[in-house]
Formats: sequence, structure tokens, C-alpha cells
Amino acid sequence: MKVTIDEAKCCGAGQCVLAAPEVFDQREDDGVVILLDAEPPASEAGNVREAAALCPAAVIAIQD
Amino acid sequence: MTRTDATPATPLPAPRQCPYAPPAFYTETRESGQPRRGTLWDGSHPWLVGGYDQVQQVLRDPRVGADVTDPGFPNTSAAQPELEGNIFFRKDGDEHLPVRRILNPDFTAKRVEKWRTRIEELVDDAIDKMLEQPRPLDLVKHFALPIPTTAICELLGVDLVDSPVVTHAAHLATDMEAATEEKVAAMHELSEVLARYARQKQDEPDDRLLGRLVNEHVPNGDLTFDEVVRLAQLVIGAGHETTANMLSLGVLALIRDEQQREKLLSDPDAYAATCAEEMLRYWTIVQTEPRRFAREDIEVGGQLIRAGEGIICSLAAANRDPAVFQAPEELDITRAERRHMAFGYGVHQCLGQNLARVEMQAAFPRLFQRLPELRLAVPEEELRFRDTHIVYGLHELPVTW
Repeated sequence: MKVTIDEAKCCGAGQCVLAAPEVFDQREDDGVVILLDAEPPASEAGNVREAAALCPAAVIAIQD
Repeated sequence: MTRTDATPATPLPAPRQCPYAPPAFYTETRESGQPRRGTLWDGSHPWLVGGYDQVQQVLRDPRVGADVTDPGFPNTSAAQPELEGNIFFRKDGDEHLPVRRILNPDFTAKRVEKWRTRIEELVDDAIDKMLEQPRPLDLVKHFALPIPTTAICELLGVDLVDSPVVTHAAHLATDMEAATEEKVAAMHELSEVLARYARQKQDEPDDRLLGRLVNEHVPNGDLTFDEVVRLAQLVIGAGHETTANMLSLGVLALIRDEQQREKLLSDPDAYAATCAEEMLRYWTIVQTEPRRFAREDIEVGGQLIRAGEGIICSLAAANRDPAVFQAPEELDITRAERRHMAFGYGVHQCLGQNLARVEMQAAFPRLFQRLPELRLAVPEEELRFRDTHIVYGLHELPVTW
């Protein structure tokens, strides 16, 4: 699984951090998403998919 | 693509047939598979969108605008363009996102998590004070309001917890039947108080939100002093009234449903989070938000919505969409489901949602742990729901134990 994010559109709602804290974080100064692991292990796949589904700005893209 | 111009007279927000369910007009709109026109106070006829997928489609479509000053924007009162016209959350694009990102740091998931212990203290303090009061008492006044009001005031760095200026302004701002002059006057009064705090923080900086805004973002030109005051006003208004209503309604739901209450108390650590999410989904308290207008012609569920026409998304109908939620009419606090849109959807999704979550997660189990005999002090039929407010809720919740 490969994850990419579109920082320019991120509104910093933080839903990805709640869903998959091992894979996503938020920048301290503006809340924009930080990708901690662009190729997360299979064990994280469910959380990452949930994060992508919950992202209100649809900035998380997944490639299997 | 079809277009129906027949104009039904259903007023928005539509009347509820049952206080525990969205208005039938919203549910029927979802079931029809197409947006339908409603009628606002000013005689305008925005489209109501009710299906989960359709609400998501509208709220992420860049051809749909959130600018409250646009002539096509469906206003729920005459006061709105004046009260909200210059605030980022009623703007689009570069007028929205950069300002949101200035506020974000105080509301990130991690930052809010650091407030959890303090919020737990606020919950216990509120219960301690309830125990000193004669019974019955109003749970809205003594529990649901003080917790989020104190939390948002501390986050902002102002001491307005018991200020009638705040409660008066917040109450009027969300009351769709209040007069424009009254609303504007109340908000003006609140902004004067907040401006005094902001000036004080210029002399004595602190690390709270208002101090940060006025000392970091005014000097570098990101925001004007007046914009800071407006943002503080927005944060304080949006940060307590909403959560307060969710707390009152959630407590009511748990009082009514012994099975759900026992489930929550059987393992509060396991169910505090799912209980909060389920209350959000079940009640979905915003009655006339999110509102938008079409910048260009768009199609939703086969229906043409023309450029310049207003759109109101019914989050309540979407959150009970059987295509997404199993047995959506049932309250199930163990439901592991976070796809609800109680906080909206799209780039305008609620800024304070993570704070609201922690407040609910702390409040629901703790209240019933400490007051297991908590019950209504009046017959249920006597409860007064806030039907004409932007934010649904209870005017008061008389309880005893």
C-alpha cells in the first residue's frame, strides 16, 4: 500500500490522526497533515483506509 | 437530468414529528433520491439535500460556494451577512483555508488530547457543584453549559465563564426567531469585551489562542485586530453552545435508555468514544447547516441545481441513511462507526470537533458513574426542544437523583 497526500488542500481536521496515528500526524504550526509512513505495513491498511474515507477534504490517496 | 420547479411550502427547518428523529421532510427528501425545495423565512427556496452520498458530493464540489455575502446564499436570518460576512468560515478558497490554518494548532488531535485531564476535572467540578444544589435542577444550566463554556474560555484565554454577555449573545445568534437588531447588539457587546481582552494580551502575552492570535498574527499582517476579535467571537460561540446541546441531548438519551446506559457503565473506557460518536450521529444537532450555493449549474441525484441557487444539506437525514448505517434509527452506543457527518464535511468541517469529542467522552460516563440514579424530574412530554434554533437541543433538562 502506497499513500500520498495533497497538502495544499488539507484543512487540518485531524481525522486521519485519530484513525491512523502511526501513519499520519499534524504539523504544529498550521495543522496540515504529515505523512509519517508512505508505505505502511499491511497491519495498518484498515486504519489508513478509514483515514482516507473520513478525510473531509479528500486529500489522502491510496495505491495498492 | 430533470428539473422540477414546483415549489412546496415546507419551511426550513422543517417541523419535527418526533423530537428523537429528523423532520419527515428531510427523511422523505433522502428517500426520494433527489434534492427538494424548501422555503426559508425570506421566501427564498433553497434546495434541501438529504442522501449521505449527495451531501458529500455537494460539500466537496468546488463549484459550490460558502460565501454568506453572495446573493444566492441561503440565509437563515437577515442578520447573518452582517454577523458572519467577514469570517473565514463563510468564505471560500484563499479567504478561508489560510485563516483556518492559523486557528488549527489549538485544535489538532494531539493538542486537544493534552486538555483531556483538565476537561475531566471540569466534569467532576460540575458534578460536585450539582451535588450542592437543591433538587430537582436544570442539567443544561448546571452541567451541559458550564463544561464546554469553561473549556473554550480556558483555551481562548479569557475569563467569561459566568458572563451573561456570552450566553446572551450565543443564545440570540442561534435563535432564528430573534430580531436582527437584537442579535447585532448582543454580538457587538461580546466583541467589545473580547477586544478588551485582546488589548490586555498585547501588554501581557500568554500562550493561549487569543494571545497567540493578537501577538503573532496581527504584527505580521496575517490578521487585523478586528479580525482577531471576530475569530475569538466565533470560537467562543461555536465552542460552547453546540457541545452544550449535545451534552444535554446525550444525557437525555442515556436517561431514557437503561440498556444503553448500563452498557456504557459496564466498560466506560471501551465505550466512551463510541458513545460520543453515536450521540453525534443520532442527534445531529445542526438543523440548517451546512448551507451553500451553486456557483455554476450542478447536478445532484439527477436534479439540476442552477447557478445562484441556494443549497442546504441535511446532515440529520444523511446520518440516518440506511445505505451507510445499519439500523440507523436505533441508538447503539457500541456502534463502531465514525463516518457520520455531524461535524459537517468538506474543508469547512468543524474546527473544534476534536475538543467536542473529548468533552463528550469525559462527560457521559462520569455523570452516570457518579449519579447512577439520575432521572427526569418532569414527565418526558414536558421537555421543551429547541425547534427554532440553528442548533437543536433542550431549553432545559430538569433532573433529580
